[in-house]
Amino acid sequence: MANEITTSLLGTNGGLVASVLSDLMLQQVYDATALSGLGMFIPWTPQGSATMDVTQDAIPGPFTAATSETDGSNITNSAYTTAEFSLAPSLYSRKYEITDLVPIAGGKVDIERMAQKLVQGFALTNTDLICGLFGGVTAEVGTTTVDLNVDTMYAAQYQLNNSASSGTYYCVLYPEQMNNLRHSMRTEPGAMQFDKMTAEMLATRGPGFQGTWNGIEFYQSDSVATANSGADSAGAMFTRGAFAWTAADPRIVQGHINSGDVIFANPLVLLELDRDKTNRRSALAAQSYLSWVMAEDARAVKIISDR
Amino acid sequence: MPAQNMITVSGARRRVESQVREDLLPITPKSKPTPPYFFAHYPNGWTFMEGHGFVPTLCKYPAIPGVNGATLDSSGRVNLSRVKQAVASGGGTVIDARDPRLIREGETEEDAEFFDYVRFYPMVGGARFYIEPGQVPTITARGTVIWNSKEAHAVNIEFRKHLAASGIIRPIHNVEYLRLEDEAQSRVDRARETAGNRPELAFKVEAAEKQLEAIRAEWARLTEADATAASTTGSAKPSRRRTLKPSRGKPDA
Repeated sequence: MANEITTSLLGTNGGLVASVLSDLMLQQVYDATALSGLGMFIPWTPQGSATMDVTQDAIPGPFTAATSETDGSNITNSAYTTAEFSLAPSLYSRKYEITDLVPIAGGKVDIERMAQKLVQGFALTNTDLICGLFGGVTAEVGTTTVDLNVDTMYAAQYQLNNSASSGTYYCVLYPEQMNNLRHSMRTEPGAMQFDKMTAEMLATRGPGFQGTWNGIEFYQSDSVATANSGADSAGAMFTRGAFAWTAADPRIVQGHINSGDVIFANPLVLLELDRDKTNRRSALAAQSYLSWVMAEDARAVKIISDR
Repeated sequence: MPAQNMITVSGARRRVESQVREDLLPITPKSKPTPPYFFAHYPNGWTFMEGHGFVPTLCKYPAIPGVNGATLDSSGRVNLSRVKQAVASGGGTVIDARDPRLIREGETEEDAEFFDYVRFYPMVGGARFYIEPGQVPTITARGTVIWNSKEAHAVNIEFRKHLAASGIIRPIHNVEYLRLEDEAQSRVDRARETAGNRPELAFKVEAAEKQLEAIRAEWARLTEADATAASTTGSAKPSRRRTLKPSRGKPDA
């Protein structure tokens, strides 16, 4: 037999190419956790300064009993003590650039896909920023180089309770901290073991929201920073108001940009096309103006455990 | 004609240059750039560590524009004055990386391990990975980064102990000791309550009791050392902070 048509022969003679691109383009694995919802959003109201101070009102106090029915002199003026924190939005940006030959060659990466990545990157920026604040929380529970366990979670809850921190408790942990906590729940004897929420928490999930247990909303993120020279992770448990953020509306500069170059704009992020005619390249740049701050330390507890 | 513009038929053979810079940390999902930072200590920041005694715990503030009030100045540097001001007004002590007390005996500025503690490894693409004292990376053939967590942790404990020993932060106060002792006592009590119904958890009681004893023993050792130091230096008061004396109150008849 001879003259069989084989793939190798066609490959040699131009009848087949080595490989072609699939119509599908799949996403590589990454941690897409978005945590901006856990911070208190403060609307940015620019009034001639790049820094905005936010006042935290005085704590009310109980009345003082009068020492006399006819003399009120023991009732003196009480101090009206306010506090404040500052938000100072700074530019955060990311840029991709593509040559004209890529779409001409039928490449799958195009401006729309780049725009999509930039918008997703905005959420990751906020996650990085809020996780970066955990290291500055003064209250701390957990033991260095020891795996996170249920006892530590209770210790964190007790601390927040002691500081009168009310509302939903949020907890953001590094993936390994979450694994260790699940393991501890699995081995916890008694009533906790048979709690429906415990069984629910043991189910495996991807990054992001992990479930609710003991009234705490759990989140997992690989943006949680290290502590103690990389030996530990510094997660946190907190209530709303512990961390605050703002985003200055970038659309205010839209008048400086050709309308056709604005690919996408909303109060948080603006995508602008920058065409380099000479070199046949197109860049897509995102800009946003963000600020994050630890607004009230007493509403948060740092959770230190083995990384 | 300058040599570099000469067209030659065959140039000198050259070795193919590696695309991988081995002196740069790769950027991977597990090894992302980290910002510069500074440490601060608050008076309530103490923990007890077996074998080390009372060790200060530190807060870490990242130097990122827009975070905690940090801004960029005209020269492109992160201005941390507002952040440091907030730490100070909250009772914290900023650990100045260039405090000469960070230099240990026998070290110089150049080879000091803790002085200038804010250090970084350059990463691919010009990014930086800022490390804490003692951190050393190893890059595997696959491009993953492995850190010397155990060794770095030991250095970290030494660093924190040195902050107290050198006087950069104030030594642990009696009130803090009482808080730590109280917490340890609570752990013992809770462990006993739990183990009352479940004898298999007796090991938790044992561990908690052991730690409580160790805390008390360490404090006794410290106060004894203080008293000895006071008697040799002639100082009559080993206490380190001002304590308030309550006025006598008289309930009305």
